[in-house]
Amino acid sequence: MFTRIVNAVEVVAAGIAIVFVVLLFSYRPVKARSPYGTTTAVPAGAAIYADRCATCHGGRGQGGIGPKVGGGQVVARFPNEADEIGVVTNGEDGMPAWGGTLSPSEVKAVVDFTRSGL
Amino acid sequence: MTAEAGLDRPTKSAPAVRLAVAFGAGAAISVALGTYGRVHDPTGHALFTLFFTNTLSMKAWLATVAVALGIVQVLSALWLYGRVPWKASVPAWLGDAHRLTGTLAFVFSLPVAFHCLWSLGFKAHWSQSRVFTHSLLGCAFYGAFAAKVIIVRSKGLSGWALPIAGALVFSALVAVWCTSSLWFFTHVGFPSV
Repeated sequence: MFTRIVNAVEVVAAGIAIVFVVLLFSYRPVKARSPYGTTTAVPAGAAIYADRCATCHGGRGQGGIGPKVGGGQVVARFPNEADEIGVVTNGEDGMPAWGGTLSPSEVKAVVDFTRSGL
Repeated sequence: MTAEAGLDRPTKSAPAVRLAVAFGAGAAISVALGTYGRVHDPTGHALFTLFFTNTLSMKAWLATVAVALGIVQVLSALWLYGRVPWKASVPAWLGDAHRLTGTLAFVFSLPVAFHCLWSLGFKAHWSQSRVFTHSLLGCAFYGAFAAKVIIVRSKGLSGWALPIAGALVFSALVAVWCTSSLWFFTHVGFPSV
């Protein structure tokens, strides 16, 4: 009886693994709509922030898994904008590098948004 | 004598071939996962967080459960091989229990791996040694796991093959945990659900 249960669990596990593999290739999230639109540099940064950064840094930059970036916090930490661009591009210990995903102009846009829009 | 040796040769080489196939398949799976993570555009999203407050908490805790089940795997394997310090007979259910804990550890690892690959991708930046190491080990874990499953299902392999494969799987799992969940608990907080 126990053997049959374990066999059934193995079949279910294989099914779950297959579902995840299919999702890897088939599922793309619906892009979050930004209230700022996407026509200028800062609004484009807002959209990128909502899409890529808000999960860890909070929707209003209040922090979460990642540190607080809103309310001028990020400017205090990175007085030089190039330093923040470097971190976003190359990552830090807990933060992924976005340089391979976002273009330099997109990185600049999202950095501008964190410095003036949050 | 020569004829006998000639007849023996195919049956002796077959286990080695099966072993090579097992580790070759494992290596292929590791490379495939790494390649997917590298070429796939990371979504930066969470597909689900279950009852956890965020994705990282979910990943840290599910990985921790997987490691705990992995420890049960090691202990039950030692028991099955008669390597426990106490003189205990092997109960009939132990083999199935060993399979069950291994299967559950695999299941608990799946949401973690999915979000690593789908949401973040394979990070190959030398400046981020922890993340890079974690990416490599994560891919290696599933390769080792696949090799172990093939070895378990193969008959007539050397006695050392399965323990070695099991040790590789457990070592990779613990190393993956140390470079992710342990970092999370020591840098973000513990307990953090």
